[in-house]
Amino acid sequence: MNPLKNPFVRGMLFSQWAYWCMWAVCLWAQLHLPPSPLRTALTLSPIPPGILIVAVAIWQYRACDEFIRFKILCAATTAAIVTALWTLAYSYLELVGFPRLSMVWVSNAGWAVFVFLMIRLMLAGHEKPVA
Amino acid sequence: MKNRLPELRARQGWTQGELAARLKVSRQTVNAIETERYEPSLSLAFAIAKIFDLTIEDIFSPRAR
Repeated sequence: MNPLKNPFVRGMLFSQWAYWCMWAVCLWAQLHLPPSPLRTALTLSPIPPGILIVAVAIWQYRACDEFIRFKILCAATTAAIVTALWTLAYSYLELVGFPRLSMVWVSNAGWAVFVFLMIRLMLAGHEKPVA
Repeated sequence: MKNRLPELRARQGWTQGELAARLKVSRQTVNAIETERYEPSLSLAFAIAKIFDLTIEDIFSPRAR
């Protein structure tokens, strides 16, 4: 079955595409625009697609069976652990002179781990089944 | 936990997908149970037993320690 026919896959891909497009817009605004209401608006633009990602995830979670819910919770836990380790380590690195990083980098690390695990789960669902 | 799901499913001539459809779960769930990577909840275990007209103990058994 074509994974793109799955409404959850389409929802996930669209929300991810929207988020990363707005993330690029945010980055561009931070780097190239002077402080202004436009810069503020563009900097905040990833928030709505971020909320859409959460909405798609909740929609998908409620339609899942117990095993898929278990895998989703494992992915969320793994992402939380990676984020915790990353923030722990970097908090000390900042004390010894590493540049201060925005929370954007922290959240993106956690998101990246979670999205990777979710894509892997979805692709596993499209493997050739055992007869 | 060990289970006889592959054997029971083969007797019925069902694929994993067909069994999953009857149980209203995903094929991944059936695969994970059969390969002993996941232990079903009590409600799902009862549903599996009902499908095959057996008791839970006839299908699932603890793994020898």
